[in-house]
Amino acid sequence: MHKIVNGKTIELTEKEKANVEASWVVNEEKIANRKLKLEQDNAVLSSALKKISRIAGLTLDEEKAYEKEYLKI
Amino acid sequence: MQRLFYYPGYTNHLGFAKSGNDFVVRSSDGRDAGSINMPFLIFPSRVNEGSTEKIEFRANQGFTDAGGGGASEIIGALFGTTTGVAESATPFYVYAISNPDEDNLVIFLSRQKDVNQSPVTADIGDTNDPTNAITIDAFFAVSSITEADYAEQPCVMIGSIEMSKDTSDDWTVSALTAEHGVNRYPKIATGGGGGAWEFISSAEASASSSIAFTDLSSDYIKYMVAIDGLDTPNTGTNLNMRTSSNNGSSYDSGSSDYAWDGDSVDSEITIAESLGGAAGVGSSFNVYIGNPSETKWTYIYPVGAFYGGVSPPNVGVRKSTTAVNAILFFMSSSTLTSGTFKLYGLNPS
Repeated sequence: MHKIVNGKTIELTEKEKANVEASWVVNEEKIANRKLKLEQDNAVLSSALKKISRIAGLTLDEEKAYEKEYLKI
Repeated sequence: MQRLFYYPGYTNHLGFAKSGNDFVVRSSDGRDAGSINMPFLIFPSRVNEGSTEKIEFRANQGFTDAGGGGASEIIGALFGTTTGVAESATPFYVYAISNPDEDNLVIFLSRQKDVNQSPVTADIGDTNDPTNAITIDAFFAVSSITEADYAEQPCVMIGSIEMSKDTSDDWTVSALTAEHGVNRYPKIATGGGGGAWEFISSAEASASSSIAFTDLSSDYIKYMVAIDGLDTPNTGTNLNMRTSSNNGSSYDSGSSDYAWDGDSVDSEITIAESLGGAAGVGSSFNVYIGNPSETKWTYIYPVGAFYGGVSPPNVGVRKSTTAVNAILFFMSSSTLTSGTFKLYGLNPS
């Protein structure tokens, strides 16, 4: 494995390679946690949207259009 | 009979020299300027508007640079650069302004080219007060003057020199070359002129762990990294970025060093989330870095398009007032399979 600095290819040392691979594991977990939080936020938003759409008398299509606009994933 | 036609800016018998640690303006034959060896210039009159005057250069002028140790007479002049940050060799333009009595000339240095009127008093420094030359528009007199006498006056560009700055804000005049001297000027850089994006460096990803660019400086007011054809091996990985203030010896990775659209405290800026991973997807971005040499927070603002993802490319900030001089791109959990990364700088003038 290598890195590129100002266009020059430099081979990673074993220690640097191990650090990079370790960071990938940490980042996978970080991304998974962020996705989970987004899903939780979405569940709250979705629930609120359904309540508002009932009060406002929105059609199902209108409700789905708002979901598409406001839900993050 | 031979006739000579003198025009404003005509320079006769004047020369620049670097002598030890001193920059000296004197006669072109190497002798001191004086009553029997008097260079002169044809100059727009500051007294009789619309007229020109022949004005004599009556005595050598110059200054001691950083090489003179504690004797430097230009230390503290910033000329628009960041204090405490070294500058590589930079062109300076040499100007002459006549004194109020129009019987002698004073020589000035400025980073600005083709100026025909000197700046206001606050933007003029001299060998007694070099710290008055703060901005990129500043004029620095290579002698001791009353600054107000030379403010907003006609000036004539008569040549160029090159100087570099150390971290003590002290300047060293480079050895004179064919591109510098009386009526000599540096070549225009290839690949762009003033006010244009200039190509700096390029890298081609090939299963690379990261791509870095170092040596960002105040030579450019903005940088842009044009990324094209970026493929990653896995779907769902993020394109991340970090900055460095030690020219790439290490990259800032504190847990709250950065903020971006999706996270107010993070150890990196996520430029794009969850890129598509199939070969040939080839994401494309222009990532802008706003004035990294400024001692203010550094803002990163990408534009681009990629397949997949949960949002458009994210803007972000390095939350530190320390100047940034290197940047690093890497994927969250994979290599950069392929793609070109090209660094450009926006020339400020």
